[in-house]
Amino acid sequence: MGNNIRDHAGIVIKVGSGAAAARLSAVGLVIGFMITILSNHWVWLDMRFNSGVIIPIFVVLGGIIGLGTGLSFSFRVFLLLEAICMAVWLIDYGFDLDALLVVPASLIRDGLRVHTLTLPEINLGLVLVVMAGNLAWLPGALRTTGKKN
Amino acid sequence: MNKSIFFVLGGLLLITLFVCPLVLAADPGGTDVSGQLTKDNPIIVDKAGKSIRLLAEVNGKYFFQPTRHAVVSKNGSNGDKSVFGAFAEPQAFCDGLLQIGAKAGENMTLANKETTRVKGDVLDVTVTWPGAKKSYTLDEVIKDSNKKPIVMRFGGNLATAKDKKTGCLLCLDSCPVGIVSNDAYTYGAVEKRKEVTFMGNKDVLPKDGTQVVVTIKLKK
Repeated sequence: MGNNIRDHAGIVIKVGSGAAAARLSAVGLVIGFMITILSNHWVWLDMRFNSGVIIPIFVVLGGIIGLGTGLSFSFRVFLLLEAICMAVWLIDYGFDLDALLVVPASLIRDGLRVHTLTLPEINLGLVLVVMAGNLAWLPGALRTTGKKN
Repeated sequence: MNKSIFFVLGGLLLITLFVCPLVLAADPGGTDVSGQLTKDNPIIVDKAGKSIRLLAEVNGKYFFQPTRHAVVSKNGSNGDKSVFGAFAEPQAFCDGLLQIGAKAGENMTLANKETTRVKGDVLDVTVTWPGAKKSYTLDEVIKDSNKKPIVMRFGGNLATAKDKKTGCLLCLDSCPVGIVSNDAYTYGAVEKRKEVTFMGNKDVLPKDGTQVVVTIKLKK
């Protein structure tokens, strides 16, 4: 939930919380990943544009919007986005475990230009970030549970 | 302070603790895969044997999606777009081909690229790596959806390559920028006209990041 801060000139600036920033960053990660997967099918574009860069841009953009506005989504909406993202992946690459272990990590590697990292190392980081993204809804869920009790 | 901020900061700290050692444990570079080729010495020209050896790395991304680049210098703007990322530059590669006596076609331009097939001497290209059963031909490591044999020719194009800075060494359709390219297709066959798709053969090639030696030999 955002807080309102009144400055000396009397202008009200709505400021979001760290949790809102983390949640919108997670939403940005999922949406950015979906756009990247879809854009990869356009070979002409893939050969000219580093589509992996879309992912960090959306993550940072989500964080800034969350921090600045306090705008947030419910966990259900986030889960729905994750399910759509998974469906887009499965339509494109099927149940190919090799592709799952290589393509997302290589997109991140190209996007962040971290060529010194191996794909398993990037995958570990990606798993942790996705877990952290899901956990960003935990404080709100705990508060709701606390109120019910 | 809001309790949720502790959660977020805790999560970020956790990620940092995991990721930092991974960054520090990154490859320091300079691995030798053939006795002589290293990242600091990524190209060897054998004038007597009329061949060139390049050090390159496998890009696993193109096991699963199409590309029009076989080998590109990692320092070029297309360095992430090829099945193999080489450590040598176009200038050194072109010079090497001239040193082994290869003649460049120099017939491709940005204006005629879609209607012209690359000319120049034909080159045999093979790929091997530590633990490989043999040296594999380019046809074995890169899959052409039409199953047409890849015919690599020394196009030249060094001036355009230096101007465009793409790093292209071996392209999979006739190219006005790549030093060497495939005369089986004209430019645009992959990206524009969708006549063919090329992908790395994951059933043959080693995993992403494995260093390989690409050998380019003047065909007699």
